[in-house]
Amino acid sequence: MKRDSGAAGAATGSGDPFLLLGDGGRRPFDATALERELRALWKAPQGGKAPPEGKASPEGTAFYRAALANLIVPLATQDFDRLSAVCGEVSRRYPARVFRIQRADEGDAGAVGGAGLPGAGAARLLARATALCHLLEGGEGGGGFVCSEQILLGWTDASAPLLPSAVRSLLIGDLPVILLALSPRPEPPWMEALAGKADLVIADSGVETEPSAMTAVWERTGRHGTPMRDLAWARLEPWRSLLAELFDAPEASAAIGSIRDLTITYGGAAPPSGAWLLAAWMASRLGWRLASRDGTLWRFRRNASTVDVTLARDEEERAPVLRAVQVRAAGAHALNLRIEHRERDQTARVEQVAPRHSVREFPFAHRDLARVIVGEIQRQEPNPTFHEAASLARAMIAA
Amino acid sequence: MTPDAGAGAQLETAPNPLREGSVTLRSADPCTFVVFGASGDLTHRKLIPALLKLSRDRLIHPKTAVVGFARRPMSDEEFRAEMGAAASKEGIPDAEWRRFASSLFYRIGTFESGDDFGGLRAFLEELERERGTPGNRIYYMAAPPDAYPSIFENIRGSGLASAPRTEAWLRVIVEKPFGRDLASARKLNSLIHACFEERQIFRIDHYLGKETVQNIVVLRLANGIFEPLWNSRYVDHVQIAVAETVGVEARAGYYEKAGVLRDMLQNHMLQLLTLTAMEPPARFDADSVRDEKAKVLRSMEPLAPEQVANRTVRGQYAAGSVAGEPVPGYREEPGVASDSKTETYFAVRLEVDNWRWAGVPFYLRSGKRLPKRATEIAIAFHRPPHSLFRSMGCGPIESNVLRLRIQPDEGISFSFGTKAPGQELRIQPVRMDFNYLTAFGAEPPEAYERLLLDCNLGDSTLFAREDEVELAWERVDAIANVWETADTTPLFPYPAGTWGPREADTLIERHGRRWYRV
Repeated sequence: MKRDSGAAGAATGSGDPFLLLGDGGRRPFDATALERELRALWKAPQGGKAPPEGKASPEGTAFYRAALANLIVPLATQDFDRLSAVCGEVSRRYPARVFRIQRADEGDAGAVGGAGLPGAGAARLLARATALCHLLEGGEGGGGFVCSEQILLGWTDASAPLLPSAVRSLLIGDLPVILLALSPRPEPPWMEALAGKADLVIADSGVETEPSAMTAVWERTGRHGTPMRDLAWARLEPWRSLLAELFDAPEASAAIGSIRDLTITYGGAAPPSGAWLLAAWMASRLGWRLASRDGTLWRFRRNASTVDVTLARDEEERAPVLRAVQVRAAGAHALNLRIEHRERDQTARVEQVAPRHSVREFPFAHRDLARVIVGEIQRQEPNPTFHEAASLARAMIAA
Repeated sequence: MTPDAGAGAQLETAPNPLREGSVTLRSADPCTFVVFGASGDLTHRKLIPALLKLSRDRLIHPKTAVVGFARRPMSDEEFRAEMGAAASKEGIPDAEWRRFASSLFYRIGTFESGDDFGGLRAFLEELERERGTPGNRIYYMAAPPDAYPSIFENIRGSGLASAPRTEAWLRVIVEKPFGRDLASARKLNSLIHACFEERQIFRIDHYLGKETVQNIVVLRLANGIFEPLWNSRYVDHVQIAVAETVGVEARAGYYEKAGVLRDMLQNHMLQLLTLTAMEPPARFDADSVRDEKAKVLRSMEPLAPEQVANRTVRGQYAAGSVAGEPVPGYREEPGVASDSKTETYFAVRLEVDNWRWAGVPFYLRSGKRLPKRATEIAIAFHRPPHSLFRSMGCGPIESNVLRLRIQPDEGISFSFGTKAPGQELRIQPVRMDFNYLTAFGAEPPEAYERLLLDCNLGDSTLFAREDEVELAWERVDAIANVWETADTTPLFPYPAGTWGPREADTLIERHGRRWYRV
């Protein structure tokens, strides 16, 4: 099997066999030439030796060009390797025409063909057309390569304003446009224009460290009428599922109205966005109204009673992750349960102190980033639960 | 899909506000799968790999246990080792397998021994106590059907038909074949009903767990363009094909008594037909969907004897070659009588006599030792009423055909006519193709995974209900009885590796149609 040694290392996060087609190198952007180059790939996916798309190659392997969406992925220099691998894995799970956008004067030159930096400083974009093909070995029809086209666009300060129009010229017309905005703020100025034309924006408030930046991510929702997903919210799904499951039990269900205290323990220097969102989700679902804040403690009201919500730091955990959630209820329906989870573990430990003591392990469906992204792309329905939680999280930050 | 309440009393609680907006509507309860006939093929080929993947994906509760029950002497460790081969084939990491394997147990017992069932009960109660599970159980019938009477009698006699606690539920999964005719199916239903209520009974047909089969309903009812066309005004006919390359393999004993009609038509193929032809259900829940499927069966009158002669063809494979390998004829297979009259191929024309489908024939065919393994539903639409291009030298225009591929390469394709490039006007059929593997980058989950999880969740939508099974047998019996008692439908031989006897082509060609290549 032929492997491309250039972008290969960063191209795919999976250990599966893959093939990178197209070695024309990076050139000044020309939409017509790029389309021509892409078409040429499918006439001869292996350097002129192989027959057209869907037909068996001389080596007996079929190539399928597949695209369910246009996927636009701006790659900040510091995130290039991490997100390139994620891009590869996303396109394996959800074939798409992928637009990888990076600075031409700082990016990984090897990843765009090893062509050096011919465009640095110039008011023109650089581009390269490739296809990342993943081998499907499982199919009863004999497997084959499923290929996602990739257009690598390199920009400079001078050429950046041209990016939105360049992307628009190469979008596959009848497929949705999805923008993956996964790097921390500040966003480059052209991001706004791309977001405005997208059918879906997937952002990640989890990469932000400043509460104001998290708020900015959540505020983007609805600004253009473009649906937006926050991966930090998606990553909370195992926490939310587990909490919901625990409150399915009759004795915990009966205690919902008597909850007096919620403590969310996090790692890292400051509460990650997941901590805010989880607290706000619990509060919004259970009808708690924000009343006041005292440092890391927020007081909510529910009917005549109060609920204290604390975001507590785990000094030993450096990663900005959620470590534990503790819920306590008082009175006739006393309840005290604590969920603990270590990053990437597939189980969580649940200790119930009241009404009776027990320690149990529960499944915790931790997913890698590519899976989380694909899950969000495939989710069609609006998500009012998230919007309510994000709105309350903003209020908690502002309090 | 909305799970039904399941068996056993469930504690009623107020709606959980933390479930609002949640993707997972209900999580699987901890339970114990008890596999009767666990030393057979099905357990290590299908059940254990499916449960292992469900466990790996955290879709079943971590306290779920599997208890095998069979005659063959084996320890827990030996049972685990035997099942471990399944794990290695699935590429599951060792640690994951070890975690799962610790939940596998084995009990030696015969299906005829009440004492062995009493011992099983005591073992299950002890296991549930140790694991802190509430006593939910799924009894999986992986034993041969002739063992069912003993198994169900002993389940009842040993108290295993009652949940150990009031809040626990019991369910039973029954593998096909569900009887060999209407009378035996009714007898089997009575036998099971002596132990369990209908809502506890999950009659499994693994075809219903396939992604593309479920997608029949989605394709029809989640897309605006198809349902308006899904009737006799636009549909010319429907073809359902289930082709196998394999011969009778090691199943001669069963197959000699069953034949392809009972093996395929009664369950898989009529299920595919009912999902294709049913009216949109009021809700997407178990009873609403199954009500509509049963209505389709009721709209298909059992064939009268003279119709059997005109509308059915049966065949038996002779020696030939499949995929370049010479293969023996059916009568030369080990365990098959040298004068066997068992059919290995059938083709039938059925009609669904209701408002939507009046006059639309449904052609079904299935056989062994055919050229390739494939299952497909083809919806053929009417040709255009006027042949505009005939004057320009174009031949007859092909029907548009929507093909739903169930296996292999699950997907959907649609063929339509288009102008071939060039100066002259030539119309050629081309295909738009959707393939699960290429579109979603992964093969859909195994049918057993879906079905075992659904049973664990108490959702019986994808399982056959008593009335469906009996209605289907009634229609199959009408054909089988004529085949077995009258000489009006000869058994035609066909060479292995071909698409069945020539008479099957005649069956469809006499109405100006042809079998589509699958």
